[in-house]
Amino acid sequence: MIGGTVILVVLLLALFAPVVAPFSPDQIGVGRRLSSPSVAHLLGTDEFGRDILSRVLFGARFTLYIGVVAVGIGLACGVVIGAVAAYAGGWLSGLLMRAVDLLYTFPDVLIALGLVAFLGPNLTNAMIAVGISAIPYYARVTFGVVLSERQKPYVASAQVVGASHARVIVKHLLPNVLPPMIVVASLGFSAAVLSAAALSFLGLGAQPPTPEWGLMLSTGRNYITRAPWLVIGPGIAIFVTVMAFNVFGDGVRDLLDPRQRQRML
Amino acid sequence: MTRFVFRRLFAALVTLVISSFLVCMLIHLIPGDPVVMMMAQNSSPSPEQLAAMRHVLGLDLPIWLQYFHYMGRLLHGDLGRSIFGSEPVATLLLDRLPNTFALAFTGLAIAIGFGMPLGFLAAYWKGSWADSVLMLFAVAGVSIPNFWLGLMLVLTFSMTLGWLPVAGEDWKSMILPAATLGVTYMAIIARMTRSSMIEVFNEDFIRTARAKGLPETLVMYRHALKPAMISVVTIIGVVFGYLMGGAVVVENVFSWNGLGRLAIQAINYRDYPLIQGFILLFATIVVLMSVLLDLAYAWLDPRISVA
Repeated sequence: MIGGTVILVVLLLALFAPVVAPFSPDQIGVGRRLSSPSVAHLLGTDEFGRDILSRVLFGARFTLYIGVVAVGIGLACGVVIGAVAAYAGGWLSGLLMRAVDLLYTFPDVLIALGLVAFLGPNLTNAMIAVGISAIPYYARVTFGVVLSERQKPYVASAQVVGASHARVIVKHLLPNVLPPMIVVASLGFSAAVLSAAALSFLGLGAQPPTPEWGLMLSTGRNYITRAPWLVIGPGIAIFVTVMAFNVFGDGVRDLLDPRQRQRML
Repeated sequence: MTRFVFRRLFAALVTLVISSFLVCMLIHLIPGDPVVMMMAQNSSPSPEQLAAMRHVLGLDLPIWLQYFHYMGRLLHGDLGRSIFGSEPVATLLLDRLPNTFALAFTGLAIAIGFGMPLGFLAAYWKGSWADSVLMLFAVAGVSIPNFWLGLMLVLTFSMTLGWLPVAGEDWKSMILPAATLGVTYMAIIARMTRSSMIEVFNEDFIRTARAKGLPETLVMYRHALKPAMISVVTIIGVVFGYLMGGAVVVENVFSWNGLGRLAIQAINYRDYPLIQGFILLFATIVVLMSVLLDLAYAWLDPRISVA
């Protein structure tokens, strides 16, 4: 509940950032560089005199956008690979899942880092890299879920009526696979936001002057002695958003998994 | 058991061969001409210089031959030369490896040292307020960006309190980065320990031990702890790779002179041979570690190698 509410608030703030934000995120103020939090600038200003609160609010747009694109890439490819592997069985299943297991061995940060290093460091490539690095995760979950769904009578009855394999997967299997995938996507979303922010922090994602939270922390750390508020606002923003998605994912999982719920009671 | 060891080693070898192929092919992901990109730092290279560089890197060969050459050099321990400084990549990487290992294993020790007992207690007090508080902390630990936590620790312990140095090479400088790394993975370990312990507590042998009137401390110490120990190995296996990945980020927060810092410098300078070497070394460490843990697991629980 709390997780969902926070997600909704972040979503609304991102949507209405131009209305809510007191300043433009790019508005430079020469006279008010690195000024500490005040009534006019609740979170202070940065090295160019830009209002940090406004930048954090606009940053929410980037964070949600990055999360949606990265999860979209990972989920779309992962679900297709996992579902085909589980449905087809045989050598195709073996081949696909071996490849997935191979990639799963490596930490996602390493895969993302490797891809960004060669594709070139920018926000688009960072989103693609984070999305690709998560494919094995989604593929494995989908594989497990489809494997157990495939045994159920409704799949056999669809096949008996003469439905094609593609139709059975898309029309019959996927709708039943969807609910558990909400949990996976929510937890995956928080992981994607963290990875993308880490890439930006390392200078491999969003580039200045984008008001992206990871990048704001990266530039802010240069002023940490003189103006610690530069690293406080954006950090809390990432923390709260990621935590909201984790709590939401955990909550939905407990709701969906009766075994877990029983254990809780 | 011997058969299991060989099968596991063979699988690891296959993984490494495929990884080396993927790493070798990464160079083709570079948009445009990789040689032009690599020499971009160098004013304006002549076509002859470009052709010479292409030849040195073997990029004028068909793909399968490129890999063949790459693999051939790899087997001689040659990872190529860094484009900047032209030192052998292997030397550069091996120089930094001890620092990364020191950081990663200290972080792992902190994570296990605190995460396991916390998870154990949360499982033991399942449903109580203590469990809720512990698990809230665990979710927070999973959600906190490690680079931000690092900055906050620097702000608190170095800048405000002045207890610890911000950066450096000695053991004192390792406390903050290791703690940063440890806290994040401590949370994951606490969650995993909790759920595996809840299962252990529901086992028949625990109920039997309690039913025969054994004191609670003995039930925990003699019966619950051993299966818990086995699960530690599994947990380390899951966490280790991610911890190494986390080390890359944390090293850059604290200017810790390890592989992760070297990798980011290499990426900024477009030192592609160095990046390739870094990824391959990292992959090898993760794969070897997973083999070691699998073997340890099979040794602790003989049912595994039969399955």
